[in-house]
Amino acid sequence: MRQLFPLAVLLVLLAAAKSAAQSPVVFAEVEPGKSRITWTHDNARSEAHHLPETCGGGGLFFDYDNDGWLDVYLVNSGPSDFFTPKTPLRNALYRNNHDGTFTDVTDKAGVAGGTFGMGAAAADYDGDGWQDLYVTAYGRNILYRNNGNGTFTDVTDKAGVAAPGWSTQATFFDFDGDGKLDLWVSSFVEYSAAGTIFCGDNKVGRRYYCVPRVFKPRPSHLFRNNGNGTFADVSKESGIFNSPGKSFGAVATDINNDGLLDLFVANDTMPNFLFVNKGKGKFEEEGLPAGVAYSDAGAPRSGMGVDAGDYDGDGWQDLFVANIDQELFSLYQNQKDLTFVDKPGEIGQATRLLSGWGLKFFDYDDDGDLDLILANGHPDDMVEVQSLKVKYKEPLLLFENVNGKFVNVSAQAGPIFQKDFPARGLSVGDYDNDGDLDVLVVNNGAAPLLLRNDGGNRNNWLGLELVATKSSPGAVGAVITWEAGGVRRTRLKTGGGSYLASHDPRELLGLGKAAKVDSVEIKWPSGRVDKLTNVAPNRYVKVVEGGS
Amino acid sequence: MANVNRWLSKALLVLAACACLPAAAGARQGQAGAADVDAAFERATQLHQSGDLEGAVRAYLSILAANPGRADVRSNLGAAYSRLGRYEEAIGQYKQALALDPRNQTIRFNLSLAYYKAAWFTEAGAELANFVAAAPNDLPERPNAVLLLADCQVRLGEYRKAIELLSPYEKDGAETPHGRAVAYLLGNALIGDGQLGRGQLVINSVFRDEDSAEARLLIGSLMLLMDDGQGAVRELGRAVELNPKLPTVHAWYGRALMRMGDSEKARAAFRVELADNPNDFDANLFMGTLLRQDKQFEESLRYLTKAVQLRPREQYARYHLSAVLAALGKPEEARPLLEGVVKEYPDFVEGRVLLASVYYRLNRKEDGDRERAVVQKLNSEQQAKQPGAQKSTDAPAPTKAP
Repeated sequence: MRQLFPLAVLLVLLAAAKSAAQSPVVFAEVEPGKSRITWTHDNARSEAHHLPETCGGGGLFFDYDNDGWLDVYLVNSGPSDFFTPKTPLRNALYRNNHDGTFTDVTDKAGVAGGTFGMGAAAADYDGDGWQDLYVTAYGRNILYRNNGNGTFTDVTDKAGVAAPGWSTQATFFDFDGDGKLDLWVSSFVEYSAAGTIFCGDNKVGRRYYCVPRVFKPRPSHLFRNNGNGTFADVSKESGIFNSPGKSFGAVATDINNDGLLDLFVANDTMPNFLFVNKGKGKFEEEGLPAGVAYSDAGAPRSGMGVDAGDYDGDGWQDLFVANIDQELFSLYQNQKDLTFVDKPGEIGQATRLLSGWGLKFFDYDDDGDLDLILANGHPDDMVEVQSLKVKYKEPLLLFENVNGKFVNVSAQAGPIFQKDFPARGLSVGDYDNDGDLDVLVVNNGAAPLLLRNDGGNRNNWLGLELVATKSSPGAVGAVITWEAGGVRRTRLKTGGGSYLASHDPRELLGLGKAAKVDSVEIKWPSGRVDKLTNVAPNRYVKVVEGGS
Repeated sequence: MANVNRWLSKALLVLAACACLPAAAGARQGQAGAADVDAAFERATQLHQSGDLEGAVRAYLSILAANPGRADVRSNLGAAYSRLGRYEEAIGQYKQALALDPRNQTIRFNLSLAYYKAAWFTEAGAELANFVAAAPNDLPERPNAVLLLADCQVRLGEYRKAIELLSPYEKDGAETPHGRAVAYLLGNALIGDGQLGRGQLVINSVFRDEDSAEARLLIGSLMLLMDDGQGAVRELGRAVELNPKLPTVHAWYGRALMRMGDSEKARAAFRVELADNPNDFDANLFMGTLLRQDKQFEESLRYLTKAVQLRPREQYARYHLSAVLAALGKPEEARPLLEGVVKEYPDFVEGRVLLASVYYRLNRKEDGDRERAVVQKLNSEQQAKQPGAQKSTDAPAPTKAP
């Protein structure tokens, strides 16, 4: 028996190790008491049911102080032509304390907002090495320039990017390849308190939120970065202006592998836009011929969140759109000829009763392929009066990519997926720098959710921080190819995506069980190629353009 | 209640039974061998009347083998087939009998009834229309034929024809079975035609306080069309409780459930309707639509094909069928359907979007661009009509759809 005992212990340990290896990756809710993120979104809800009330808020992970740790920015509503807050409302910047907690530094940083905010995007628009912030709003947008000392300055007017009206998603990307970050700003409908429309049940005078169909569309904005702290609105000359929309999510990607960044934009109750970059500053809207504008029955849907990614690993960017209940969400597989086929698979039925906003293709388990997370919530808080099945608050969904097909793993991904939320914005990033992607969800009229990824890093990984020298900061459009354990994978770095958010600017490459990275190649948007070999895994690496 | 559907069913049964009864065999004078044939016909008819239908069929067929020109024998054979539920064979015999004796209105009526029972409503409607047109006003069968014709027209979606046919009888009053049947069918036709206000008047005047399946069906369907989904589910659910065998009740219930977002129960309701009534247009159309939405294209194709067969001119059936064909990678099959739809309904945006998509898939870029331009124009026009484009202040606007 004495000889057998160590063997028994070994077997038990092996069994435990095997069990641990097979246990699913879960997302743990980091409650405000632990994270110290105590900010809450105020949706300004009124009996009048003004539409902007239900469309926010947003937020994001970004590293404002360059300490290598992701901070959190959250966007609130605020004063508008239909809303006067009883107490002051503000956006919030939380500095990462490197220990799982955050500190509110909003006032010191000077980024409280003051408008009826929607969402935000972070990027280093002026190339000074510090992440700046662009905040969208119903009203005036704000560009906060990062001063590099923990404070920001509102440079909106100088930069010329106020874009008054109602803006939703902002996305930084370099559409003309000049090495400077340009700015896309999605415009939602023409709306004002003076033009209020009654939507609801006339018999009992009960108001609902109007379907955006009843409002006029507006052209979105494309701002070209002049490189001197100012932007030029090139919406007209680029062709964007010719397509007024009711635009929410937007993602910059290269759908035809021509090296030019295109834009895919979700529209609510209108056809989605696929702006194909024709070069020389021109875009052509090709949504209908490409098969991504309408449902496969020829009807416009209520597109809200979007993203792009090569989920099937064929080297071509696929697209995703979250729609409203009964419309099913769309997974558009790239057919490599500027056309797409909607193949949602299991996602279709899983989202039949849901309305989606924030979403992201991301490799949550570090196995190298793109999985998908969806944040949902019906826009109308009266929907349960009108529907037997559709609820106002809805669950998050997590899909794992299994050989190019998405499998719903929400039930195994933690208790948070059993709860319902009025979710809107969603950002992904590795806020605890442990090598797996965490999630930030902003809820409408409620506290945000910080979801910590527990177990994604059981696989090996490599984090890349791309430092552009010739390409635009952030290197949106860069193509990363890596090989590990005999598997070669490619990823195009997209800009924007999701809804009212931007994401961790670093790229986290999943290696699976491979113990080392055989090679990494970065093809920068400028055309330059850098190669790394024999890189040790499970760490973040800074790669400077032209440095290899 | 001497309820409408029971009345309709009763009328149909009486008429159908009449159709199944053999005409009495009569002697034909002056024909060689006629006495033997008449005797055989007499025996066959006795078998028929005694309920030995298979024996009667054999006997009639035996006579016809040697005497194929006997319209009376063929008519009786048709009646026997009809009673056996062999409607296609009955129709064949009636048609041959009518060819031999074209002025015989009884045979024509029996033929139309066989069509009706076979659920060949297009053919039944055509024969009934001929019958009604030729029948004098005091012919006892005429009122029943009018109701059956109206029922065919409603089933075929020819609502305006049914309204025109029934309107003269609207004043017959709700107290008579015939009057109630008229109100029932006329209410259906008015709802189908989108004349909801008049439909509501007709229905309320007769059925408002009545807790019958038929009344709940009419009121529920009206509520659905007036976008009161919850009320429709309640009324139609009650109709199902009261009479689950009432024709179309499950189809309407399924539509109400669809409106309220319960596609699972809606599917179940359509399946029940189709089990009892495979030729129900709405059940086929909406079942096909639900399946198409769920991207179960192969199964959807079956129902939508049936819907188009039932109502070949129906715009939405053709449109949904073409959407499925396109999704199945058959743009060349979808194209003519869509071209027909947009030719007849030039402002039908979804149809034009699909047609543009199909042209692009067929590499007919010029045609696709042309359709796309029309789509953009129509979209702009529709958008301009929205209340938000008018800058109205607190004016009633469309109720939000879920």
